[in-house]
Amino acid sequence: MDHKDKVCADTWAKDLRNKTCSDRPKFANFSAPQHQNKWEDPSILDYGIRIEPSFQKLSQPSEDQTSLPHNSNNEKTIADGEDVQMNEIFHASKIQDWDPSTMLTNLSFLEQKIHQLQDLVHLIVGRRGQVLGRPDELVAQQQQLITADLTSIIAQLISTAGSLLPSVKQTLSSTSASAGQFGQLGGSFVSSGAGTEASVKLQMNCGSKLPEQPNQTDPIGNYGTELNYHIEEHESKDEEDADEGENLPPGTYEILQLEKEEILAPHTHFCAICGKGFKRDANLRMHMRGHGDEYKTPAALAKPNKDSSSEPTLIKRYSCPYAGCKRNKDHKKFQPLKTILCVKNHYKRTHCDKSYTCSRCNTKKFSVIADLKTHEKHCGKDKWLCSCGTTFSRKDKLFGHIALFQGHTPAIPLDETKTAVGASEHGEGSEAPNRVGSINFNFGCTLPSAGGLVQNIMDVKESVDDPTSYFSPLNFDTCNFDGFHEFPRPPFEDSESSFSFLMPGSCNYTHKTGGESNSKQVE
Amino acid sequence: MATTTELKLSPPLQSIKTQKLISNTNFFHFLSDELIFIILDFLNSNPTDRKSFSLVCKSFYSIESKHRRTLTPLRSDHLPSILTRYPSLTRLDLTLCPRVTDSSLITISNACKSNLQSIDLSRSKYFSGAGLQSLAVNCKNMVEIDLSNATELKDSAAAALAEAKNLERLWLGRCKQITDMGVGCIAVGCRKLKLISLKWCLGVDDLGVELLALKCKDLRSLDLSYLPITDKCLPSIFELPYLEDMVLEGCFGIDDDSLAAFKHGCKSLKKLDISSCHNISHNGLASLTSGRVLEQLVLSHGSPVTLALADSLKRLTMLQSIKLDGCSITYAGLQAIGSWCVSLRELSLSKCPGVTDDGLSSLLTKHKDLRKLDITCCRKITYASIDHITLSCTTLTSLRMESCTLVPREAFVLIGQRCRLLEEIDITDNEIDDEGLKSISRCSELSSLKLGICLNITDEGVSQVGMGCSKLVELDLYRCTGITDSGISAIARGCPGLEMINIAYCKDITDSSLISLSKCSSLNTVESRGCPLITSLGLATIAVGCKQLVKLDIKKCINIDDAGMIPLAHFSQNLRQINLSYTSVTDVGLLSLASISCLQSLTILHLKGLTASGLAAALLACGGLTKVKLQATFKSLLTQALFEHFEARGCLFQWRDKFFRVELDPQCWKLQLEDAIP
Repeated sequence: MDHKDKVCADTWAKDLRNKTCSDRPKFANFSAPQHQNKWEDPSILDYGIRIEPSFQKLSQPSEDQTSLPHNSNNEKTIADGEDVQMNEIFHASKIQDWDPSTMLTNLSFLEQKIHQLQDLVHLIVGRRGQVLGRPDELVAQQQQLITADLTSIIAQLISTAGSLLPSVKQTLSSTSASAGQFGQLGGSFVSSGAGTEASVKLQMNCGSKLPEQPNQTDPIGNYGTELNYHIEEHESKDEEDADEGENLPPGTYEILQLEKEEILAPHTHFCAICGKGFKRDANLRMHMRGHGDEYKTPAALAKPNKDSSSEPTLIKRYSCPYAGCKRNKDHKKFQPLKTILCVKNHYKRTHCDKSYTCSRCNTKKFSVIADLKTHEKHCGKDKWLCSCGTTFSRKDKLFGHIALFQGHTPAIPLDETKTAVGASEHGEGSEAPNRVGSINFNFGCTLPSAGGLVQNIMDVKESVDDPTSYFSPLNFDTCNFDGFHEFPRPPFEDSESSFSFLMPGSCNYTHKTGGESNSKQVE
Repeated sequence: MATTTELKLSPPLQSIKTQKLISNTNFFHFLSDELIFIILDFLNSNPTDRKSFSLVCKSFYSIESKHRRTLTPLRSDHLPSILTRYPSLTRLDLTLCPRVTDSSLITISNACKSNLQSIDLSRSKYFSGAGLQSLAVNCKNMVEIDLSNATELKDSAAAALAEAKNLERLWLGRCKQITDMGVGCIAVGCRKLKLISLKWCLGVDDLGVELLALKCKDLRSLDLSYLPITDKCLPSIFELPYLEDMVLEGCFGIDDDSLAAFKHGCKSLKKLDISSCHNISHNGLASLTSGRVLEQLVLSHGSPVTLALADSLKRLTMLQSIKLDGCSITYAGLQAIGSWCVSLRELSLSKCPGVTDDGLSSLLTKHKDLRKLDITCCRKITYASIDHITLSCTTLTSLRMESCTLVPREAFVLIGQRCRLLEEIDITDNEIDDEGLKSISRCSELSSLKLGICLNITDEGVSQVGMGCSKLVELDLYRCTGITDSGISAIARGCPGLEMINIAYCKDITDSSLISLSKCSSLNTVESRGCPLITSLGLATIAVGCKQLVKLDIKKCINIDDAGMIPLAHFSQNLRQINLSYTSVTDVGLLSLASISCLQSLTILHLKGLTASGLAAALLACGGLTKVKLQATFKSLLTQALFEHFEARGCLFQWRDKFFRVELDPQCWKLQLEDAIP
């Protein structure tokens, strides 16, 4: 915590010292290499701070903060109460057009900044008194620095005042720029990001719990998994796409850009002693326990950035290093990525080769292994078929596709064994919207059996170790298709071949469903 | 030119034949085919005229063959030869064919090619996608297909149908196995659709309908009755630019919120049917006011008609017709309808429990232009209502007031006095007497008169009707026990255009009634159930005189025997439906009936003289049968193979196991009926 404070203060100071112009992009550019240094730094704690900036940011001023640790004692209530909580958040986001407490936070933040500036000017005045014979350039530099800070304060002030406007107009568009921005600054949730943030918070909560109670009995461990699953599913819903709606005005957030190598690195957390790499900081901390008792203290095991420093930081958004990409900060219609994970998945999906091929159909290729896993679970089961050869897991997706494209038409399976399939289709259709719920339910079912218990523990490990499985595979499915809508793919050149793989697939279908639940657990 | 030729030809065509025989030169050789085509265009009144024309000579035969555009064949097995005979068919009605299979459809599509524009397959379920595909591919100009009741059709058939790119009208009622996928195919394939009926297609829901609305922008008419649709698909439907007619009967998934989407579109809708939608209240109906051109609204069996509901519809400025059948209705509601600024043409309040004299009067003071009024089973209204109706709505053409039991006999006099333009009146089960009937006989335009269960009327009144209403087409005298032969003969004399008569249970009717009725040559429906005095002689005269006879019900006419069947079989070649239960017909009579090639429906319960072998022979001989109602005892007497054969021909059996019932005294029957009504 101290460390973090120090880093923050450091950054601020560094900024003050080195900043020579007031323009924002340069500021961002400047900060990017700085982070890069830290990236390469084997100091893990430091990286930990960087990787979860949004967690930290969120946790600070939230009123829910107090209730969360309390909840963490009883995981079950979290799992159960999660929906309620979410609802509350959404509710809050709806009515939150103008929130006095947010305003207060903003104002105090500004006040703080002004104080800091005041101190700086004091310092300069003091120095001027000491060293009179300084060259003019330094004076000019200092002047510029102060102007830059003042400009930023003014900008913030104006936008704070601007946040009042939507409330006057009674517009409920919570994605409106200023409201969104200050909502987040203030730590209360705005609808566009609410899903992610809520789940992220829970995840953090869960992460903090795990190390604290390492010797818990298995069932509780399992609860942990369940919780994780919840989180993953909620989170994955809006990884790349959700922030489409987010409309942060440029300059109100900090843009970070990782290099290609960092993005593609398999591990991001390395043990300072033995050099072993980990995908998650929490795993590293668990690993560190083996290196001595000093790593077993609660302080060492605690999440390094969990402390609530009172100083709110700028929102961090990420840029893709690929030039010309819409997610690259130099793009005209730049749309930032929300988290590191988004960056990774985006980069792999968009700018990397699709090296993972489905072993079932040998057709579909993926660059993110989790996408492959998702697909494999559904491969051959997508019985909603379009004349262009594309298959869909859900009827409404197929009809959306057909509505979108001219000339595409629903393809009726050649074997009219529709009566049986038709019945199951209907079941499927109604089930689809509740899919998340039903999966959790499945887990609940397997819990009592001993085998299920073991497998669930395996799942725990897996989901903790492997960030690629961070998202629930099921939800990737829908993400994929959303992506498909976005970037219309040319229809398959050889529709017959795609049909030929579909037909066996659909024949296998009943066979596969039998094994489905097992495979899910074994994976 | 054409008209003069026609005038020359209008005398019975047989005379032409004789004329031809006399002179060796055929004048018609001087007439071009086109001219004769124009003459034939006027030969529509009687379908047999064309047949007679074609039988005159070879050249007439070929001309008639070339001229014929529509055909209603009776058997699908003769299709190949029929279709080669008629090369320019554009419409084919296959509803009378007991069995239309894929091979029939393939034959049709190969013979008619792109000439065929319309085909009606609404009574058959024996074809599949293969036949439809052939139709869709070969008949490029197909505009209209009726596939109602094709319950076996699957999505693949719908996909095949989607090849018919020019299709404009499509009926898929009761195609229960078609799902969204099939409808999706049709939506993508048949972009020119203007009318589609998906009534009872239970496999279709929001997705299919939505796609239909998205892809077929020309839709004018949409029937979605009883579909499990919700508000999801309605916004896209309401965006259809030309939609005029929409039926949402019995769509329980549709509620007030769904109709809110109406506000944003559908400026063209003229007719909306949301009957039996129980989840729609006045709040939802208020959204309809944006439909500026809405003319007809059907709210039957829906939410109660209250002040709020009536007020919510106040601003529909083009409204002409509203149906509120079966809705509970309040006085305030009726009053509010009376205060609308529009003047309704058509109002239906049948079976509305809350209709009272006061309510009806306050409603009708405003709507003086009413043409059609239905107050069936409004059991609370009395003389005052009829007085008011007849005073304010003098231009009424249709009045239906079955079972308005509190209306006294004097009230009916007012109807004839004041509403002279009536064309249709239903006073079944009322207190009307001869005075009332005499007054009604002044309505010289009357074409339909229903007097069932009016026990107070006698020959005197009916004779007046016969004298006054020469345009009468339909007369229902069911259980009017006061009627005898003299009344019927007056009708037969005065109403030469009579097409339908019901004299069931008029127990005093004898053969002489039938003899007089045989003069009505357009008679196509005769129901004379339970007239024990009628014999085969009377039936024979009907058979000889009424060649158009299509439907005959002589159940419980115990004096009719085989002697009546033989002339019937000989002369009534158009007969499609017959009920012979409880008559004295035996095997012989039934076998002779089998020669009627049109015969489709046969009800033969409690025929004492019928044996199993006779029945089997008759059924085998009668190839066009589609429905046979039989005593259950025969089921075991005939072999299974025989039934399989019949079913393969497209004939269905309905087995009945009813006890022989002794006929009740009419007065006693009425009392029983009244007991049954709560």
